[in-house]
Amino acid sequence: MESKPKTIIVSPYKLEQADLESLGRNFEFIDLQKVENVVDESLIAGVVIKNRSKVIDLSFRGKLFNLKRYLYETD
Amino acid sequence: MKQIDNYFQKIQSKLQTESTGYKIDEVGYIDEIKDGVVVLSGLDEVAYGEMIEFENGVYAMVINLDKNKVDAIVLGDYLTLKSGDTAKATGVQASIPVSDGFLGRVVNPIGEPIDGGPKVKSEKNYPLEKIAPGVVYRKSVKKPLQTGIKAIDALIPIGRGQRELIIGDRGTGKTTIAVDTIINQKKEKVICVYCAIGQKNSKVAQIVDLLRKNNALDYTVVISSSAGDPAAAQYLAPYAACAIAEYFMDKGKDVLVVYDDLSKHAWAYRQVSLVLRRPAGREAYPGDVFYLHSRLLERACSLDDKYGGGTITALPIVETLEGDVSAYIPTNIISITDGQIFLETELFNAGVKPAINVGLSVSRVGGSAQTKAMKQVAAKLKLDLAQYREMAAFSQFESELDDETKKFLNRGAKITQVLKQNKQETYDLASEVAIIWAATKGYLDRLPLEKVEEFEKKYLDLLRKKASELMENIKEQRTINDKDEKGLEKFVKEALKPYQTEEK
Repeated sequence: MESKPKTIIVSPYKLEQADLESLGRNFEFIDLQKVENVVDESLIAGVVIKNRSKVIDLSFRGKLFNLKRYLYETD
Repeated sequence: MKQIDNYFQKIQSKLQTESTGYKIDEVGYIDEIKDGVVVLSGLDEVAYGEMIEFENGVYAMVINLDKNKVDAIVLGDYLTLKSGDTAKATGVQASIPVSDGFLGRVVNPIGEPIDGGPKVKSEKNYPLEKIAPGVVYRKSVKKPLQTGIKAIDALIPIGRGQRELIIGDRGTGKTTIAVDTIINQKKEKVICVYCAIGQKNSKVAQIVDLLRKNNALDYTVVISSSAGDPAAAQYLAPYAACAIAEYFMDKGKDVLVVYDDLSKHAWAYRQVSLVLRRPAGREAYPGDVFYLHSRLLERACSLDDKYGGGTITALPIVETLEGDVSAYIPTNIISITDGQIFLETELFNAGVKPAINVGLSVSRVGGSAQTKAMKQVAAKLKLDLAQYREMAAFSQFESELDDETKKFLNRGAKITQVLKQNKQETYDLASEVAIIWAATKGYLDRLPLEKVEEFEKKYLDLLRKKASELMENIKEQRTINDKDEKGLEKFVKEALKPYQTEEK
């Protein structure tokens, strides 16, 4: 059907085209024609890239969440 | 202050060593939640049986893969989930952490402690679903598993690596037999796993207390998913118990697993299947309810010495209704196991405890798992009991019978009395052999029936105090030679003395 499905990039502030292009270069599955940029301030920093059922969480919020889990489990 | 410095150091080192690589997570979103089953969309590349994790830490196991949706059963409180929640695939098959630290603990099917103690540390995880060892990996069942119950060890002997079903109506003593067997393994170096499926919390608490009082908890792991737990947890509990047992078996140990009981397990699976809209078959059970139990029980085996030589003996328990052993689940499991122990309400009410119907109970491993000593005395026992059963109908005409028949009836009654036993009073091998030898040789024939129990106590007491060497002999060599027989005869006569004077 589609060559590359739509990708949703969630970021804490609206991204410039240059930023989207650099992301597109690093992750080949991002089709720059079909990117949707959603703004979510709770991410604090970084991005979350969603593509169909796959999610790459590179946000600061995600890292804090993992850190909390790690500390809790190493008790 | 030092503690905090410690933490800061840990955080710093972790942050510094963490690479800047990225992880691709497989996510899905909850569309529907139905009674312990969640229907998700997304999760395109998740495997069957994989664990998925929700944001609030609740785990679920994938159980259905459809073109556009994924069904998963929740292992935890599904009431905390709501539509739209995100689930992440963990990438691992459903498994339970395993380690020696589980001995003496009570845990749930995902390894979390429910006895109030600390979390068990473990380095390995064993998968809940596993293909049973193939033919090449096995060796035949040779070593006996001493249950400490005279009737079982003599007539329905269980070997290590066998599956023996305990089947009966409610309140006939099924759990008691299993727990007594666990208690008897104290000196036998057998690790025990007790799996409570859908039981009342009070019953599990009682059993744990009993095991603790009898010092049996130190070598037992209790896995419990009680009646109040979600059906998914009850469905997985026996597989979790088997996984822990396999961990010990792989270390070369002998393990005993008790599944109490598999009828409730089948009910839990039926509930899960009906919620998943799978087609219902006979008695509304899904079509694969046989496979549900066969794949569980096939994992109980006796490994070849090349692979460690460990064994898992399974004692599944099934509850029948009104003694109907031809119902769906009982017949399924009877055809899977290597024998069954039938418990009957009539015998129980008549005071025969354990209420084992010796005629219908069988052990397909039989004599090859019995010590020579026991085989010698049990052969005559079987014969005497069989003849007794034949004549039992005539026992009402006692006064009009010929002497031969009266003799058989008398012998049978004495043997039945000898095979009775109180709960939590297990016998060691030598005591069992000694008392059955005395009964089959006819020394009890002249003794009045009510005095048999007293005599037995006295006789075994005497042997324990004055003949420890003789008993050790029987235990070590596992046979009785003529010298031993003469020794036993001496003690029998001594124990019979007070009763003989009464007769005159």
